[in-house]
Amino acid sequence: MNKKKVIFLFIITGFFVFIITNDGFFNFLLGGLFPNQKNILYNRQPMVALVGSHLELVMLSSLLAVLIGVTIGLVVTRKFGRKFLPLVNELTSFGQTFPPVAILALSVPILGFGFKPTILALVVYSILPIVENTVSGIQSIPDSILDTAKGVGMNKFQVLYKIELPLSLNIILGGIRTSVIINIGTATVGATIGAGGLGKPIIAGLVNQNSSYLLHGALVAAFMAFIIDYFFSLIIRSSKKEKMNINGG
Amino acid sequence: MIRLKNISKKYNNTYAVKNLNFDICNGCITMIIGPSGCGKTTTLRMINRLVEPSNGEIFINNKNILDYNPVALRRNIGYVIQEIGLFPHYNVEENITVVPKLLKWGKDKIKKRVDELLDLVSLNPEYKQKYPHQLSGGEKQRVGLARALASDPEILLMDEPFGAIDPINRTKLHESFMEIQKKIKKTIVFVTHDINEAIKLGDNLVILKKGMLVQNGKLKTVLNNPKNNFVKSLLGEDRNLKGLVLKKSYDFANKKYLKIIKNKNEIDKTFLKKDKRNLIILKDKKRIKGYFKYQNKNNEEKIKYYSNIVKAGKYSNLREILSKMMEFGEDVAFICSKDIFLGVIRLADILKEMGSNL
Repeated sequence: MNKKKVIFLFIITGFFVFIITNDGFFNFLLGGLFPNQKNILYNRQPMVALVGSHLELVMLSSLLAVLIGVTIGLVVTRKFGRKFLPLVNELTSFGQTFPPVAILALSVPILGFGFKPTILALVVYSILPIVENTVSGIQSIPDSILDTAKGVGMNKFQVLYKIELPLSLNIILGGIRTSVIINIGTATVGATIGAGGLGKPIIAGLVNQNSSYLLHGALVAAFMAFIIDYFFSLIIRSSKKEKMNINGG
Repeated sequence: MIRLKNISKKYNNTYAVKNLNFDICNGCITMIIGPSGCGKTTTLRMINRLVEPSNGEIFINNKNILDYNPVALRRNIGYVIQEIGLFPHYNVEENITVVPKLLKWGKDKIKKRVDELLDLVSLNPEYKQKYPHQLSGGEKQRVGLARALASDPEILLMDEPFGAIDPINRTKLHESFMEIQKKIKKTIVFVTHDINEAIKLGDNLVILKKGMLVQNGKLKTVLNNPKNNFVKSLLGEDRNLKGLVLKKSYDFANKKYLKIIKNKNEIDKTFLKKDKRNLIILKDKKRIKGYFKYQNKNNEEKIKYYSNIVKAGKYSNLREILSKMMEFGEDVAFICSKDIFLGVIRLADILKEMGSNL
């Protein structure tokens, strides 16, 4: 892993923690942008708590999406699951064409308001890139490598965790990265049905026509997405360092 | 011994191989050869159960391979394919130790084995840390061979292992492969479509056509008695010349019709005159300097001295020697092993040997 980049990650994360625990920065920034606004910062809940609940939404939904998505991706690339591949492709792309707001609206009658329907919407919405990348990652491994893995006497499980997963790890991580970033943005929609998170100041800003509130929430969410994306770029690069040149084998 | 008994493999309604019956002897290289689509790879892959036959049985040392667990069976059979299939995320050492690790060998034993194997395939120990993409085609193939040999299996299956390597490196690999086999004496089943490779490396040939066995047996037998036109065309019109590759000079070097002298004054002219074949060789302690021969041209009798001589080593084959003779326009070659003179091989000997094949 590149040392300079790790240090940079720590610096920006430190700065992020600073601006969400300390109102000074946004007071200065947004106060400058909106000098006529009386209430500059969203104050019904501290920013740290909003970030916390936002992260909770994103992490839980992403974790579920990874578990389900990778499992589906692996199942449809097994011999027994191959016939489900077209069906799964259809379903996951349908899931992504479905607007998250619509999923929220549809799930509220079943799951009620708040956290649960938001998680459901986020999972449905973010599963596609994970399934897609898991499938293409596994399929990118040359037959010759799988053939020898079997030929030297690995059982199916060993072929999976010694060969298939490590060799497709980067591509799978790429899918997870995309879906987590999507989730950070989409999770703000959850605030409309009371899931909390950074959507709250945004919705409050829209309702009260307070651009400063809106920008406060949006800027923090964007910054969070940037840091997490940077983090993924680091771990993907470091596993690339393992000389995983598939075609070079 | 590996025995294939009535082996057939059907895909949908077409036979990839049909009713194969042949034995593969222990400790020798058996080449399975035939045009593409003849079922040679399928046949090979049935031996380690990567493909299951639709009909028939395969026995290894009289035990039906269905009685083995396929995974355990494969761990005890080395496997090398054309694309080599080195694992790109493993370095050379990790690639070589895949099977010993699957077999749960101790760390020290594995470490020792890696050094032995690298030595066997002539790779420097510093290669251990290299990754496959840092290796040349030939080096990859050596690592592939080392991996296949890692657990010291009795049987080695090789599917066109040198097919993707350029001709110069392939020749080198052939030579080191034969040297390695001399040391390890494995039972090797080798698939190829290159008849020259088959003749160079093989002890036995199994010739397939459209999934059926055409002929099998010792290489020499097949070369001398091709069963039909298909085998003849596979072996090529120059099969007699190819057959010479199998014949090593030490079997043919002789000292008939020879006299060796140390000094020019010792020439025995009557000996030379007596028989056209007679030669007198001038030789000091170590080196052959030249030879004398009787010539009768236009009724002019002459003893001629030749100093430009064709020499060959003990392990040269007759084809190489023939080629050298042609190059120098000579009809006799001198066979020496280091400084020891073993005898001569004459053009007539080689022609006679070729004639006996016809």
